[in-house]
This record gives sequence, structure tokens and C-alpha cells, in this order.
Amino acid sequence: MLAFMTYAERYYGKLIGYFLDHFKICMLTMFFSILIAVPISLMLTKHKRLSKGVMAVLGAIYAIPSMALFAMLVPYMGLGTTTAIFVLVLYNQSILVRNTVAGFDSVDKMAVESAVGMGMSPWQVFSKVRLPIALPVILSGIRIAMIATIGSATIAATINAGGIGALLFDGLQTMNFVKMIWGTILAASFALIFNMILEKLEKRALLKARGEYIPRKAKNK
Amino acid sequence: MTAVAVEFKNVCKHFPEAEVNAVSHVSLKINQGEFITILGTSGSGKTTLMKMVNRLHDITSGDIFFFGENINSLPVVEYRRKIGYVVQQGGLFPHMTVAENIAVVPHILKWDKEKIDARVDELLEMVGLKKELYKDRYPRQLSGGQQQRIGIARAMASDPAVMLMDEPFGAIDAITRENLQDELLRIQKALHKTILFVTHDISEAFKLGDRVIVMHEGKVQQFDTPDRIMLHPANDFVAKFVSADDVMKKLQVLKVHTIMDGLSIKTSNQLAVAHVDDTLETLLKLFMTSSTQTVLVKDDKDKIVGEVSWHRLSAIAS
Ligand SMILES: Nc1ncnc2c1ncn2[C@@H]1O[C@H](COP(=O)(O)OP(=O)(O)O)[C@@H](O)[C@H]1O
Ligand SMILES: [Mg+2]
Repeated sequence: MLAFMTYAERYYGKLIGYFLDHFKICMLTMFFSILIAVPISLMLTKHKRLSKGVMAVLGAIYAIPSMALFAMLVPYMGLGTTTAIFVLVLYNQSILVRNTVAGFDSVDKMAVESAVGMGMSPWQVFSKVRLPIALPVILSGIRIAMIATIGSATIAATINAGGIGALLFDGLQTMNFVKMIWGTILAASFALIFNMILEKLEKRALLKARGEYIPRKAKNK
Repeated sequence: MTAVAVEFKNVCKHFPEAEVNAVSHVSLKINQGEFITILGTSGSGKTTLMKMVNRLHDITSGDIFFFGENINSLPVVEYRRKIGYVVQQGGLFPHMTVAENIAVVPHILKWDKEKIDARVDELLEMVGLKKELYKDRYPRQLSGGQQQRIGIARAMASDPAVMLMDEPFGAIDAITRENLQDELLRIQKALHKTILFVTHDISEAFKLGDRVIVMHEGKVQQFDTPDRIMLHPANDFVAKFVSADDVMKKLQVLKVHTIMDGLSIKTSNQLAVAHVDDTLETLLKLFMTSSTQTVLVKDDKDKIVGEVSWHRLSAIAS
């Protein structure tokens, strides 16, 4: 217990560094994952026929063990953060696309048709109608992908991507339990905190999408 | 002379992979201010015909003109804002309040806030909903009939000249539907909108429509007033579809003015008075309850404009 605290006291700068590296990898991964998943999902929502094939491919990628995927890609992309993020983004597509498509599918067809018919531009139909109604389901996908990413990103340390994984593997190699425990605590609390935040957002989006959301100020009066 | 609001010129619609045209060689003119109902069985092409007007469907061949302009020459998004659109079950946006739903088009058109607020209040009043009670509600907190009222208010927000309504009262109980029909008629009489209204309900089509388009297998079978369709069906299909040889049906559909005679001077002590737009069914009840031989007929301004004898009414049966 003492060693545990002393380690933190002595190396807290390092711990924060691991954490921030990890945070950076996860955030970049999520950013690119969403950036790619949304257009794919919109395309699949529009062209249902493509859906089966694309989902099968994304599912197959998801099923490849991450070590194997890293091993396959390192010869081409080299070691480091970029390769790690590339792999993590690939993994996320299955979860994100599935949920995003389900989200857009949940939007009432008649509401969309009304929106188009009354003269909304394609962008207005998307931003004012489809996205707000689909958002809770999309956010649910983002939450699951985020948790998965936080976990998988530790493995990325094996290809020198840094982050909490570096601390874990370092501890593992030197049989340093303090490092391992700190790594576990950091990764787990990171995941828990993001789960909580995203759950809150999801709940709020759900209330809004259903028309049950009551803004604070209205509640108080 | 009134303007032609919508004109179809030899319009066809063919969906890819379909064997036959969904809409086939339709040519007709709809005058400004007319209430047109489009009647037909399921799959007869009613919705397709309507959706070509606001370009939700592309026309395969032929042309549609909107106040003289070919609709394909107009910028599509701006064009649609000139047309109100109401679908079955309202198609309201569940995440927006009633006020926000109604304000969608004014908002897009960048009206200022005061003007939008005033318009929302005005429209809620028009469709018979108290603004204090309903403005901030969400669609899920409304009954089906109330949702439909909001759908109509929303479609009328920017005061479009033409309204398209696709079976708007299809999923609503009979009594509420009657009320909504009456209110829509009242609104149309007051505002002189041009309305295209799709329905598969014969009574509804004949009650609402100044003229009725009867469709079957993508073709217009007859386009005429309810009375003329009932009395002079264009072909066997129409006759059968509207049950033109059914006396009860005739009584339900035909209006008093179709069999009204000019006023004869000797109007002594008849007390019973019908309205020109009442159905013959209503007239029949009046005869039976008042035991007179002749009923007087008044117009919208309560002026007595004619009479109908029992003789004349009973001739309908033959
Ligand atoms: N988007 C579409 N794609 C292919 N076929 C369609 C489409 N919409 C309608 N149809 C076909 O066109 C015909 C007319 O349909 P519709 O206009 O919806 O009829 P109604 O509104 O009178 O019930 C039907 O045979 C229907 O199956
Ligand atoms: Mg239809």
C-alpha cells in the first residue's frame, strides 16, 4: 500500500503523462472513427442493398485479434501511434456503423418525408430532423466504442504507441505490481468516467428525441 | 377568371422494375381555390400523383405546371416551400414542441421572432387549439386528432397557395374525423386555398371535394363534381366504385342544390329549411321529422334561394 502511494508521489508527472498520451490516442481514434462511420452509415441507410455486405466486412475486421492486425500492418505502416490509431479506427467501425444505421433507421419515415416536402434543404433535413432523432442510438454506439477503444488502446503499447499500456507492459515485464495496478486503475477509471459522461449525454439526447426533455429553467418555475 | 393553380399535361410515372405505369397519361387542370379530392383504391396511384406535384417523385414523362410555370424549371427546395404538405399521422417532428413544429418553414424563411410567434398563435387558434395549453407540448402528448391539427397548421404556416394532403385523417376515429373534415372545410372556405386531398374513403372524397379525381390503375377515370360523378358515372368502374345505383349512397353524397327548384310563390307555412350544401340524407330526415310536402333551401347567408318537394326527392330513388 505504501509502495503504491510512494510510486504515485514520486512519479505522478509520469502517470499523468501516460494518462494524457492514452487520452490523446483515444480521442483521435474516436474523432476519426466517427468521421468515417457517419458517412458510411448514411450511405448504408440510403442503399439498403449494400448494408449486408459492408456489415459483414466490418464484422470480420472486428473479429481479427488486435495483435494479429498490428502484426499485419506494422510491416507497411511501421511502429507507433499512427498505426495504432489506424487499427483502432478500423475496429470501431463495426460498432459505430451498426448503431448509427440503427439510429437513422429509427427516424420516422413520415417525419423525414414531411421535412423534405415542406422545403428543407438536404442539410436541414439532416441536422434538424434526422440527426437529433437518431442521436441517442448513435451516442450509445459511441459510448460502447469509446470503452472498447480505451481498453484496446493499452494493447497498442506493444507497437510503441505509448499510453497507459506502456505502463502496464512495463510492469508486466519487470514484474512490478505497483505499475500494473496503477495502469489498471488509470485505464479502468478512464473507462468508467467516460461511460458515465456518455450515458448522461445519451439520456439527455433520448429525452430530447422523444420530446420528453424539460430544460432546467422550466423545471424550476 | 380564376388562375390555373396546378396543371398536369400527359403525365406518366413509371417506377423502375414495375410492369406498368403507377400513373398513366394524366392531363387535368386544377383551378386556384378549388378543393380537389383524389379518390381510388389502394395502389391506384393517388399518392404518386400527388408526390409529383411537390417533386417528391420525379415525373417520367409529361409536365406539371404550377401557376403556369413548369415545376422542373423551378429550384426544388424553394418551390416546395410554396406548397403545404400534410401526411398521414401528421409526420410531426417528435423532438420539437408544437410551436417549433409550426414554425419550421417560417424559421427557414428567416422571419423575425415576433412575426413567427404571432403566426404560431394565429394558426393554433385557426385549428382550434388553445395556445396556452398546446404551444409548449410535444407531439407525443397530443391525441391523433390534435397531431393532425398541428400538421395542418404547420403546412399552412407560410400561407402557401396550394396544399397537398395525403390521407391526413386516415388513421383517426370516425367522430374526430368528421370534426376535422368540417374544420378543414371551414378553413378552406375562409382562406380559399387550393387543396389536393388524397383519400380512399368515398364519403370523405365527396363531402370535401368541389371536384373529385377518381383513379384506378394509374389512370384518371373521371374528374368531376361529386353530383355529376354520382348521377353520370363515366364508366362501369366508377359506377361500381361509388355505388351510383345505390339509393342510400346517393342520399349520402348528393347535395340539396342538385335537386333544388326555384322558389314558387305560394310558400305558405313550411317551416323546415335545409342548407344548399346539406346532403339529401339530411333532407330526408327533415322531411320525415317535419311532415311537410316541401322544404325551403337557404344559402350561406341564410337567404332562402329555393325549395325541394317530396316528389322531387323521391324521384332520386328511381
Ligand atoms: N417508391 C416506389 N417504388 C416503386 N413502386 C412504387 C413506389 N411508390 C408506389 N409504387 C407503386 O406504384 C403504385 C401506386 O402506388 P401509390 O401511388 O402509393 O398508390 P395509392 O396512394 O393510391 O395507394 C403501386 O403499385 C405501388 O406499388
Ligand atoms: Mg397512398
